[in-house]
Amino acid sequence: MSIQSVPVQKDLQSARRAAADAWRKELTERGILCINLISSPGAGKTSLLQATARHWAGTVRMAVLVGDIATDRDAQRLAPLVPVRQLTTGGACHLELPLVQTGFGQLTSEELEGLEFLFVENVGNLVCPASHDLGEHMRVVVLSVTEGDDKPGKYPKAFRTSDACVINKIDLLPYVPFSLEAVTTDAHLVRGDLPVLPVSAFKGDGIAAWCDFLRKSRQDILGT
Amino acid sequence: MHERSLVRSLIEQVNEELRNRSLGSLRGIRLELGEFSGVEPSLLQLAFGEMARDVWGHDVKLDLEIIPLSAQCLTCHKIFHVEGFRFVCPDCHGTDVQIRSGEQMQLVSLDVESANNSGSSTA
Repeated sequence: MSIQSVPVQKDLQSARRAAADAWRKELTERGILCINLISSPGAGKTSLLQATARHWAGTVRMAVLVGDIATDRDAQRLAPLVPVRQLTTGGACHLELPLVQTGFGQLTSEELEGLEFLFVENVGNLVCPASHDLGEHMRVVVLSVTEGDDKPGKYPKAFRTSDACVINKIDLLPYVPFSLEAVTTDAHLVRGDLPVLPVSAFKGDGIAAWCDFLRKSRQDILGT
Repeated sequence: MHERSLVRSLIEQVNEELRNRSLGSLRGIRLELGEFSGVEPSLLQLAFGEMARDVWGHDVKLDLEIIPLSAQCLTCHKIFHVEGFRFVCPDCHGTDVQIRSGEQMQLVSLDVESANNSGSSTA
């Protein structure tokens, strides 16, 4: 009996990447722009989606799949405004594509009719979700001003793999040591072309610009 | 901490190779792991150690080769090692840079016990 080394050379992520690409293609064909929202817990992903839904007030068709380790509290907050399904990970620190697809499959044909935006609200965590492609067209990282302006450099993968950065809770800027200029500089060292969008989901500042950005992105990516 | 789900996927894909090629008893796995793969090598080793014993009934050695994060400047075309996750060209200071390597999880090879009667099935 001897030990033999057998060459394999296989990309371990290729199957997951192919599945995500296939899902992205399907959503593209259906005219749905999928956005994966990532942030630390409490940065305001759900509040941002509530503000987005209120701004569009039914003029733009959106649905939300919201991931959490436990409870359906986020889904309850969004349900009066938009079609939503809660994805409960049962302890997992991030969403994976099969769970997202299961949630999507639970949307009714009425809810899917003319759907333009599918938001996937990830589990609050700036680390693990950065490594998982959910078949989204865009990844958006949300950072709130109370977390500090040094975060892009500390969580480089989350910011490098994102296509836009929303800075939330700017209504609190007078009370916290947070510089919009410093966070933008730090973010651009990680990704030079990252759009930075300051908002207050609570007060409504910047929400119109965020919504315009989403509509323009949908046009650019889907061509519609 | 998503290393356990990565190990689960690694184990599935290794078992697939073992089955498809009718390989003998597994002793070791060689993996290239990118510095920017989002995987912490020590946590991966820990999760692998626990799960491998459950799956294969004995210790399997996991050899990790860490692949540095390298990028290319799209302005001056310099290829450089990304220091401290700052995606800035050291020559022209451009930030329009593309990752060339360092995100991968590549299964390189498997160490297996080769029996003398390697052609016959033991299933």
